[in-house]
Formats: sequence, structure tokens, C-alpha cells
Amino acid sequence: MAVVVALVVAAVWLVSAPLESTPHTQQPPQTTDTTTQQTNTTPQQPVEVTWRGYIYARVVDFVDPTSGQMIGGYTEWFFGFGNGTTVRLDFTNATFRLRDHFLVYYMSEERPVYVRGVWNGTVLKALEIYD
Amino acid sequence: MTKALFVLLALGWLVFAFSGYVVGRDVLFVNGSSVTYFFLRLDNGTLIPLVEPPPAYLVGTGERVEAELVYTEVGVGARVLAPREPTQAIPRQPVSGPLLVTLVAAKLADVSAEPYNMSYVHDVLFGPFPSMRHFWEYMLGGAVIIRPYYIHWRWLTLPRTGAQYCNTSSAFGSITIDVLNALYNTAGVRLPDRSYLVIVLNAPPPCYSSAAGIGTVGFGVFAATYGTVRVAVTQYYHYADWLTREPDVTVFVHEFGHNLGLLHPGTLANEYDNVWDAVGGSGVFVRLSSWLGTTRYYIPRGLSLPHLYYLGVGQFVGSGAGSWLVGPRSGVYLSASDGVYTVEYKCGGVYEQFLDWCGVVVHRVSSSASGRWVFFHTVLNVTGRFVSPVNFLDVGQSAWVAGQRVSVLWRNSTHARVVVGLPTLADVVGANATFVVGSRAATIDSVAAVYARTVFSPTATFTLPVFQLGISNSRTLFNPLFAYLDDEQWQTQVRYYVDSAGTRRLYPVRYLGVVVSVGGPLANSLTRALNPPDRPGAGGLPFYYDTAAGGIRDARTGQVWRSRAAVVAVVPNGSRVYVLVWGIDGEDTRRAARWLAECVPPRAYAVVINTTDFRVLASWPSGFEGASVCPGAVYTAAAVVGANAASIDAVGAAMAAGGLGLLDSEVVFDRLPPYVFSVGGPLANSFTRLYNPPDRPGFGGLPFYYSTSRGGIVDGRTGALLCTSNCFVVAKLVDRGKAVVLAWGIGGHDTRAATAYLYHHGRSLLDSRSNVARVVSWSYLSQDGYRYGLNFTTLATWP
Repeated sequence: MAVVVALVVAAVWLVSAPLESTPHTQQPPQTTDTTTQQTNTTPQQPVEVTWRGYIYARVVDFVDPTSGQMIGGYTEWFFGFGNGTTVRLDFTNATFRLRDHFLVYYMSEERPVYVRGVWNGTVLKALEIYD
Repeated sequence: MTKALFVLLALGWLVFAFSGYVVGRDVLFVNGSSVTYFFLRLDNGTLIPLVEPPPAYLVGTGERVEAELVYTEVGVGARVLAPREPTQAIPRQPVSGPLLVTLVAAKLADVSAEPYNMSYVHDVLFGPFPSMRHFWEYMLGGAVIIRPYYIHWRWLTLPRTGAQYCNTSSAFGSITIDVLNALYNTAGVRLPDRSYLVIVLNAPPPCYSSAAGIGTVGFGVFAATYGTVRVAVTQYYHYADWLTREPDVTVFVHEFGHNLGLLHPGTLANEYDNVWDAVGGSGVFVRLSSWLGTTRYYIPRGLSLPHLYYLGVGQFVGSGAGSWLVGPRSGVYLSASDGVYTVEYKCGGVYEQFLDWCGVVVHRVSSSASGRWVFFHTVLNVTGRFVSPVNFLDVGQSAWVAGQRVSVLWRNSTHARVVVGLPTLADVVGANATFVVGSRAATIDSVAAVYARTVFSPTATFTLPVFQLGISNSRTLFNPLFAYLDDEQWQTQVRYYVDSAGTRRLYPVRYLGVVVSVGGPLANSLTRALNPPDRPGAGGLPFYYDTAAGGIRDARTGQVWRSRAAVVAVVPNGSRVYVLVWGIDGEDTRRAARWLAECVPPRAYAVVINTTDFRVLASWPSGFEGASVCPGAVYTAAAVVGANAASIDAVGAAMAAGGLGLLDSEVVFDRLPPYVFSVGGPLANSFTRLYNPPDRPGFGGLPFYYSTSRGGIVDGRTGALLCTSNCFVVAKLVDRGKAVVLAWGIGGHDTRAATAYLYHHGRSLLDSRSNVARVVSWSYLSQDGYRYGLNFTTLATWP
């Protein structure tokens, strides 16, 4: 009996541990289409989450169609769970606590990060990114 | 006493960058044993014994190393410091081996156009130069091979319209997944993990209107029907119809750069402002041979050193203070509180040849955690919307980077000499230079420039004055000058940028190269501006002409030298490096230039020398006083100028030759070197008059002469008056085994034009074994009010 209780306690502890939390425990995105595809979820009540995963990016380049000169563009950032599910990532106001250069993380599948932030069902607004 | 001297020496050396080359000397004894001594060889040839054996791979390689001085019981030695590792702040993720690329042309369901045939698309991607494949294989030095994995040789029709894609959460992702699934369903193709997918679309979906391309930064994971696929994806959109005739290689190269992990390396203000890097967003239209005949391509112009380093092929030859030779894919880095600054030279290379200018450029690699990490650094503080085309250092230019002076002293088509820290007299030897003399100076002052020219390489660089922004085909040399009067307004480069209001603006560069200003502050206004009388000069130069005392004063000690003394100084000021050469009188100036030509200058910023015995009377900083080391020089050429000629005649002499600088009254024929350039007309130069007197044919039947009655140059063979202005005579006459080269015009500017002609076009004349001469008319080339070159037309030749 004691063993069972211990296992249950351990299981509860594992599920509730913030660094190991899974998307499902904190109202994750429901679609799993692509890494670079924004998840199609309806807005929800913002909730603070801490997720472990990967950072992805893609760049949109605009040109002047007359001259061919690139005149602008933007970089989109994504947080991915490693299973094909991604969400948009906004780290404008985030604090970074990474041991290596930031690009090492978004260029490597072997370098997961933890993102603590606010998930509103559309965008993950990061407050802290660390490894 | 000896120890004190060594300590003083050590302190003196330590003030400066201490670097050199490791050389070894093997002594073989008769008993068969041997011992090897290792030395650090400084730039001036000094050998300092190494106190411990250096790494074998450094010996005799010519690779510059840094060292520290070590005081031992037997004297001062040097210890080679371990090569500095590039800072960790510059990340590195080398890429190598085959990169597998799948190419698909896809049509949106609601757009039927097929703007390209597949050969076109194939060639832009995988063809020979210029192509995406060629660019990256070339830039990465063969480290990667870009291999087509699968090419879908017909247009693929996507299942959804552009609007439908835009209604998904991500048009980019949905298009990519549809393509992945279509490839699998129609051709059974599954893309390999970590491969590359290029999708050429016949139109941008509405939500990406005006987008030319989208690239994933590195690999993304996409959920195809057959499972998740980790690929880097480029989507290229047909954004203009001219693309069917004029392939935009730049966009393909650019997006693939994103696929390799690179972000935009533009300026802080504009991430697309970097003409020196393909991922900077700027290309150039170039008409090139192609299988269609000629095709106008839009191509990129290189890759910055931080990106090359990141991808595993860029190297750093050193860091911090020192004199560094940087070449393709190599540079120097400087650490600072806001990141790491990289210094590199862009010129040689298949794609760099389409840069408008060759130059040393600086990037800052940010260590802050954010998106962009490479920033083009505006060294000249020219700010605006598009300023990377002007913010580079050409020879002679200097800027503060990360708290240190960075100066470019010399360059050729592949390498540049970059000095980090304040350049010394030893550093400037051999620099590319421009020579400036006072317009009101005595000729003997000015002819000193001829001596000075033996020490330096004249700066005659490619220029591109007639230039429409973004449209150029090649660099062109327009017979530029490199010797000027102090009051001339001349521009050797006219660079273009776009200011914050979007207006195209000029950035003119007055001189190229280290500017050697010859003559004292009373005779040369440029010298006066930098080293005015009666007070210390620019940058704290302590030596100046004291008008009350009538001599050169050392502001630090108050000591004054009233005769037989001269100043030679390196003065970085603003964005340029100057070398000042001036004495108390004209002869002292000439001797000072001769000291520069015949002696080994110390690693000091400035010296006062005794012009009789070349002793260093004072140095800045102190510690280099004493006898000069003067191996001397063997002069193969002399330039002779009339003692009473206008100063511009002497300017022409410096254009014509480096060597002995003589006045006509000083010529002793038997002591002249094999080549003698006599500069200035028969009325101004008695040596010229000997060979080419007025009003009659000259030496050996030379038919061209100045007619005093007709006021112009006459061809004695016909009696015709060839010209009365803007023309000159150049002649090579062989007299008693010496080549006497005449260069003279109607006026002083014509004479200088004659010497410029000799420099740029005189080879065939100078190589002639018999007497030859030409009469040439000339004019200045100008644009936007700036003179930038000369134009020549031959009027007559002899024989």
C-alpha cells in the first residue's frame, strides 16, 4: 500500500513539476500540423505556462518589384514542442538566461529551451527563456 | 646599466603592438651535432631570440604571431603567445558535405501562368555561375556540395488557391505541406531528413503580396501525410514579370542563406542595408554571358566574415592591436563591451568583383540574446536609409572601432594591410599613398616628394564615378592622379548613399591612400592644418615649428632645433592617415624624405631627425633617439625639376617617378641613375632644354618643340602647330646609355598630366629601345563638380 501511495505521490509531483509540464497540462495548442505553422486555436484566457521545446524562425523578404531591391521584411519566431506542434513566439519582453549564443538554440534540434510565458491561445509571450 | 637599458627597451616595445614572424636558424657543428635558434623577426628585420621553442607549425611559415617580451638573466627575449582563439561571442556551426536540395515549381490553383520553364529555374538554382549553388559552394570554399536531390521537371498544381492558403493559419506552412504531400503522392518522393526544399511559386499568395521569398532559418519540422519531415524551406514568389528575362539569383541565394541559419546583417537601423553580404538583401544587375547569349542577372556580392566564420570557413588572423594582413575569408576581430567587431577586406572573388568599391568593412557581432546577431558597422558615421555602400575604409582611411584606431594602409586585389591601434612610422612604410605639396612651396620642397614616393606605393585605384545606384557592370580606372597641390579640389572617389529622407546623396573622398604631405607648415596648407606653427599638432603631435625661435620645438621638453632638422610624423586625423615630412628649410625637407627612403623608421609616431647624419634627435613617444639604421637605397630613377619651376612641376615629378629628386642645376650626368625623368618645359627646366630646346627640333631629331612665337607645340616635320593648350610632350631619348624621359606641357597642369600619362600609358614608350615621342592632348574628367580622372588623345607620334 505504501508503495502505491509513494508511486501516486511521485506521479503527482512529476505532473505538477513546472519544468517538466507538458502542453496538455496547461491548455496547449490543439493542432499538430507543422512546426512553422501557427496553431489554429481560439483565443483563451491568458495563462502562465512553462514549456520545454525548441525555437524556430523564418524570414519573409519583401522587394521593390521594379528594382529588385529588398526593401523590408520581418522574422517570425515560433516555439515548437518537437512533435510538429508550434506556436507563435513573442520574446520582445523576455529575459534570456542562455548559456550559449541565442542562435545556437534556434539552429539546433539538440538544444531545447524552457520558455516561461503567457499563452493566450495564439501567441506565447515569453517572459523568460532559459536552458 | 645593461639591465636598465633592457628594461627601458622592453617598456618601449610594450607600448606598441608586438608581433612578428617566427624564424629559425640551424647551426651545424663539425662533430655532427646541431642546435637550432629561434627568433621573432619584427617588421623592420630585428631578430629577438625566443626564450622557449615556439610551436613547430609557426616556424618559417610567414604567419604573424603575437609575442611578449621576457626579461631573463641573459637579456631580453620574446615568448610567442598562443594564437588567440576567436571569441566565443561569435558562434560557429560549420556546414560541410553534400546539401541535398529538392526543387519544385508550383502553381496556385487560381493562377494558371507558368512564368518560367524548368531549365530557367534549374539554372538559377543549380547552374554554373551565377547560381544559388555556385554562390554557396564558392563562398564556402568547397566545404559544401549542393546536390539536386529531386527536381520536379514540370509545374505542380497546388490544391488550393492563394486566398485559401491565406485563410489557413500559415500560408507558408500549408503550401509546404501540400508540396510535400504532392511529391509523395505523384512521384513517391520523400524528402530526406535535414535536406532543403526550394519551392518556386508562380505568384505570391495575397497575404504575401510584394514578398519575393520566404526562408526558414535552419530546419523546420513539417507534418506530411507520411510523417514529420525536418527540412529547410525556401519559397520563391514570381513577384515581377521582368524576372522571366532577368533572373534574380540574389533572392535564391539570400533565402538559402536563411536556410543555413543566417539572419539579415544590415545596419542597426536597416537590417537590409549591407551590400557586402548576400543575406544583407542587396544585389546588382550585371549582364553576363549565358546560353541565351547575354543575360542580365541580379546577383549578390559576397558574404560577411561573421557569416563565413559561423559556417566554418572564415578565419581570424588575429585580434587587437597589430599590423594585420587580411585576405579572402579572413580578418581581425576586436572585443568590446557591446559585442565583437570583425574587420575584413572585400575585393577579390567571383562575386566581390561586382562590388562598386574594394574596401575594408566592419561588422559587429552582438552577444545579446535577440534575433539579429550580425550588424554592419558604419565606420564613417554616415547615417541614413542605405549607407553600407559608403561606410568602408579604402587605403589611407582610418576610423575608430571598438575604441581602437583601425587604419588601412595598403591593399591589392585580394589582400589589405590593416593596422589596429595608432600606426607608426614603421607601419606606414610601403603604404599606398597620395602626395601633396604646397602650391607656393619652393621646388626643392616639392621635389622631396620624389624621394618619398620610393617609400610608398602610389594609390591609383579603381574608381567608379559614373554610377547609377545598384546598376554597375565593372570597376573602371580613369587615369587618376596621386600627386596634388595643397589647394586643389580633387575627388578620387564619389560614393553614393541614401539618406534618411530617401534622397540619393554623394560621399566624395578627396584623397586615396595615406596622404604624404611634403613641406612645412608655412609652405603647405595641409601640413599647416595638421601641424600648425607654435603649438602641438593633431593628435598631440609634440613637434612643431616655433616661429619666434625659428626652429622645431619639442613641446614636451621645450628643446628647439634651429637648423639641420626635420620632422617626420604619422598623424591619423579624422578618417585619414597622414604622413608629414618637413624640415626647417627646403633642403631639410628633401633630406627628411631621403631619410624615409633610406633608413628604417622606428615604431614611433613621429621623430625629429638631424638632416645631416640622420640621427633621431627626438621621438614621440620617447625611446627611439639615436643613430638611424640606414641600409641606403639604390636609385634606378631620378626626377629632375627646374629650380625655379612652379610647384606643380614638382608634383608631376612625384607622379613620374620615385627616386632621386633633383633640381636641374644639380644634375651631373654621369651620376644619374639609368632612368632620368625631366619634368617641366624648356622654359622652366634647363635639363629639359638641353634635349628639347624651344623653336627647333631637339635631341636625335625629336621633332616636337615649344614655339615661343606661336605659343604652342609644333611638329617640326610639318611645321604644323599641334596645340596651344591642354597638351603635352612625352619623349624617351637614349643618351649615353641612359634613358632621358621628357614630360612637359604648355603649363604646369599639362606637365602633371604628362607624368600621369607616363604612369598609366607610358609603358610602351618607356620600353622602347630607341628615341620615341608623343604629343597628347588631355582633359579632366568630372562628375557632379568633382574631378576624378584624366582623358588622353594622342595627337602625334615620333617616329
